[in-house]
Amino acid sequence: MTDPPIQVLLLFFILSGSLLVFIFLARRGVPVKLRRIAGLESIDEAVGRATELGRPVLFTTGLEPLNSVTTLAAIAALSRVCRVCAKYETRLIVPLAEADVYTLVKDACQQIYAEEGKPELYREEDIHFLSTMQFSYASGTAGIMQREQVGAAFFFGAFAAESLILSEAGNQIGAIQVAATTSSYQIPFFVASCDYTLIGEELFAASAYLTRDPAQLGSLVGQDLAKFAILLLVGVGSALATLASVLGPEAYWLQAVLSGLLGGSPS
Amino acid sequence: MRRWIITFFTFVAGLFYILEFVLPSKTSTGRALHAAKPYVGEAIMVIGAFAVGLGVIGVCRHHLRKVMLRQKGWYNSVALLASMFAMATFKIWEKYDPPELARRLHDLLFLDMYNQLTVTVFSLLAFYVASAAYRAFRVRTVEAGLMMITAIVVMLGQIPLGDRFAKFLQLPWTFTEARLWVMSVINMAGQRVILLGAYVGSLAFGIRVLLGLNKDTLLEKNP
Amino acid sequence: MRRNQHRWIYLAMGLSVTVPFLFRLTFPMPISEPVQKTFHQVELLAEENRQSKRKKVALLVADWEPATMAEINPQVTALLHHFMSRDIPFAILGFRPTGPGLAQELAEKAAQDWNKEYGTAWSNWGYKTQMDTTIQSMLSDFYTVIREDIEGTPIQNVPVMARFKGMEDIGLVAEFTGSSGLLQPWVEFVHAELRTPIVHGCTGVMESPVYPLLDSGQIQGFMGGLSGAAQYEQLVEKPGKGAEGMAAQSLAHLLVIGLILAANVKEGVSWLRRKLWSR
Repeated sequence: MTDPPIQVLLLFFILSGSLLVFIFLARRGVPVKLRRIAGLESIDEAVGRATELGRPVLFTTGLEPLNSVTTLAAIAALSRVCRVCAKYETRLIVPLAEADVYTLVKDACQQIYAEEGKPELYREEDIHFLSTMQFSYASGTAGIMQREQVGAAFFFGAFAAESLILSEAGNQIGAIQVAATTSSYQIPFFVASCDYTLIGEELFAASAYLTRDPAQLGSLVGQDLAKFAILLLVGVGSALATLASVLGPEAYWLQAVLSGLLGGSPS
Repeated sequence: MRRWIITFFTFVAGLFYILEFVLPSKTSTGRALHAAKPYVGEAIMVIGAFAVGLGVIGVCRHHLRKVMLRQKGWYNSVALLASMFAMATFKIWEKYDPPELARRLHDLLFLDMYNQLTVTVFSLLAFYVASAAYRAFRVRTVEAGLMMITAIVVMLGQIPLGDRFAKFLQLPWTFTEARLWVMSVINMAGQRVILLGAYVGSLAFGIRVLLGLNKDTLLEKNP
Repeated sequence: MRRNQHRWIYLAMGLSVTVPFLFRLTFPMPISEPVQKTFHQVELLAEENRQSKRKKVALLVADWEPATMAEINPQVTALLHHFMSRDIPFAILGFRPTGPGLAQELAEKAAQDWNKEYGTAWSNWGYKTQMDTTIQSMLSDFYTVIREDIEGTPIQNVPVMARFKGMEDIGLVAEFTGSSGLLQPWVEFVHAELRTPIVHGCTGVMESPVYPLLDSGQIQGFMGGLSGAAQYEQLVEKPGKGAEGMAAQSLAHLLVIGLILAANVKEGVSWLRRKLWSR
């Protein structure tokens, strides 16, 4: 098994370092301002609308198991939706595709209802483990949406082809829909059929955005700086590579710099 | 106390993989961690298997209760439980020198019923794409107009008639070439940006989970 | 959109997809660069095997499920015809339960055209779990992971595997899937360590995220969707379901384009009416 190149290790330390530094600074009281993320602002609105209509809310966390960061981020958002549903006394239905997520979500929802002072509203039968098979999960979730006539639907997590099946099922019953996924090839389908869509890392920002916890806000700043550092590296690398192609193989010093940056011969 | 136990084990598990990635295999610790990695992976698999068992127990409890109390849709629960046990029975039986009947029944349930149902549900996408396209692709802004033109170019570039249409319109390029340019230049830039953000975001989220900084994820009251 | 409008759209889509199959129309396909590169990579392996005494094996990673077999099966069939026509031995492996079985069926069908047999032309290593761990174990000690084929024969006793020592004897990895995340481990572990060429087959919707990998050289080619299959069939001169399906796909795409234009015309007319009424 080969070790990762030194360049990858350096990048790993720089990225992790910037995250830890800003988490530390934010915990020390450095203020952080976030721009408005429409999809997350709409959570209360969506649950409120479902409550007015007397219809339940549906939240689903996608296909990946508990060891996926995307699923953990989705569960963070689910906690928030669960609290709002408990506050408004709205029924929350959670169909799931993974057994390990089911066991965690069941306990977490029960705890949240108890913390909100409404343990009697928690219904274990509303948390469903449907199937790990993609289309069994999709048809089960679509069926639940249509039978229960949900007023609001949240699709947070990793989705594949079933994204359009779920969102169209919601459209047919007039539910307000919010989606958040890192699956880049499913984002267009959600954008076309949902009312609000969070793209890529906005799903990971959800937890920080909803709780306004300083450590999480600090990590958002660290993330942005990490991305800036990567973009700078891309820009510098592109400029050097362009210069190398113009000057040709005689510019040995440039070839050496590029090899050092790339960790091998430039292709 | 419970939170500290969860945080501790999360931290140790994450630290193992970070150290395994960072420490060179030339060092004795690095070598030991590389050697231990398959066993840790197997341990994760075993823990996951327990969770699957819990899920199955949960499903059985929920649906059996529904059947016994004759709640709304109880007959769906009967179908679910019957098919679940039938599939499991025939698949396990198939491993132990089964008669031809067991194999045939398994093939009937899996190949002839389950596979075809999966394909059918997937085929719904064709219809949903059409209805979503009619409902949602309205040109109300310049960006929406650009998106619509790009969508049409990509769709025409996908089909053999597209290039004939380009010839008919006497365009200097074919739709196949245009599609390749859109996918390998514009689309690729967008994909890289989204992936970059998602991977940095997941790194940050992973570090927050590792250090127990993620509030409201696991049984933590909202401040 | 009014409720009953759905039904007409669905009816139109249903007809546009089914009617072309009644006439079995086929059209010549322009060949795209990613598919051409896939073909070229297989030709390179064939040439390398011709010039070497020890033939390298191609690895067909069968990670697709029945839901996506309409798009993936024609791709795999065309590739199998290519392997068999060039006498490239191959192995089947899958990390989805249904994959190896589906691939085996396709291989047996293709073998009839080339007089090939299981065991001498290919072996099937079956379904494995824990993809990352399995691939890494295969790299360090192949025979601890792959011990027998799907029929229970010890793997070293399968004729095509007689001189196979390990992953360095894999000349090409061809990964086919309709899901995400299954290509990355091959790129991260196998290509990064051994520089083994990788080609990929995926559904049409999964094409977008693959272009960065092709551009960076981490994969050497790919086929996307039914159109990729039709193009590859044309290259190997074995028309099949890919070519047949292109007429249906063409009509369906034209329908979707028509619906988009119709919706926008309707929107434009409503806007004009509102403007005129407001005057």
